[in-house]
Amino acid sequence: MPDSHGAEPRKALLARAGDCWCAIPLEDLRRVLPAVKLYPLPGSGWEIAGLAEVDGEPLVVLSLERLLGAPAGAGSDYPVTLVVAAGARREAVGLAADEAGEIVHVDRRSATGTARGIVSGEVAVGQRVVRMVELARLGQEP
Amino acid sequence: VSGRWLLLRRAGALWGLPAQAVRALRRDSAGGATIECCDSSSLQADELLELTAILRPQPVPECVAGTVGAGITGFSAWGGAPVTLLGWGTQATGSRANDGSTTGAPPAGRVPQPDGEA
Repeated sequence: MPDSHGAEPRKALLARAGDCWCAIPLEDLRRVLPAVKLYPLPGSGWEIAGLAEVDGEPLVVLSLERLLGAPAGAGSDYPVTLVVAAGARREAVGLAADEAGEIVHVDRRSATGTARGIVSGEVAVGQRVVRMVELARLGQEP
Repeated sequence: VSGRWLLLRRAGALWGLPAQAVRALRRDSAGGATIECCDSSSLQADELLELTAILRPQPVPECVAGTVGAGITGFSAWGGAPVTLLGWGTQATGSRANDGSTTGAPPAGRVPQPDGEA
């Protein structure tokens, strides 16, 4: 299994949040679900989209758009939920996204930009500039 | 977090409160209730659902612990919906509110309202 901090190319799922595309490493991806019903979680941070129930288990769902600091897209109904392993303990959380795209190879050696939040840099994938996501940084990022 | 939980509905979401935190219940005419807690704080509920011991509580994921509301100690599911579990006597840390500001922790031993107010 590739080291999440290594430099070798790795497979990732392209996901769109608002006007921003990002690459979610496949090693962190557990499931891709259609929109889940979100319940409010009052008093929580702005990154949290809500709380869901998936197969009898609770799931905290975060807004991928907000985590990426992405410009808001046209809608905010989150048609896709990505269940991922995040944080140092690789706990299951949901990422509410607008679209799940293709699976690509991402070469971290070609990354540019500075790491911020869960974004470790940017790479070009085809004609797109894609933000690379490091989910181990969730909860630890400055 | 273990034991029995009082399940309630408020603002379209389900909440669980440790049964040992409840001192008294007062029904109101609209079908809701006021829950008086042992520390003299109180909670408003739109509906009381059940007293249950089968919630299988899960702790707040560590990676989001800094962003969930103060006083929330875990989550569960019941009847196809997620349940937010409120702690009892928990020293919760501050968390960022939806407007990006920082909210303080509730006074020690007080149970926060499901709407985020202490």
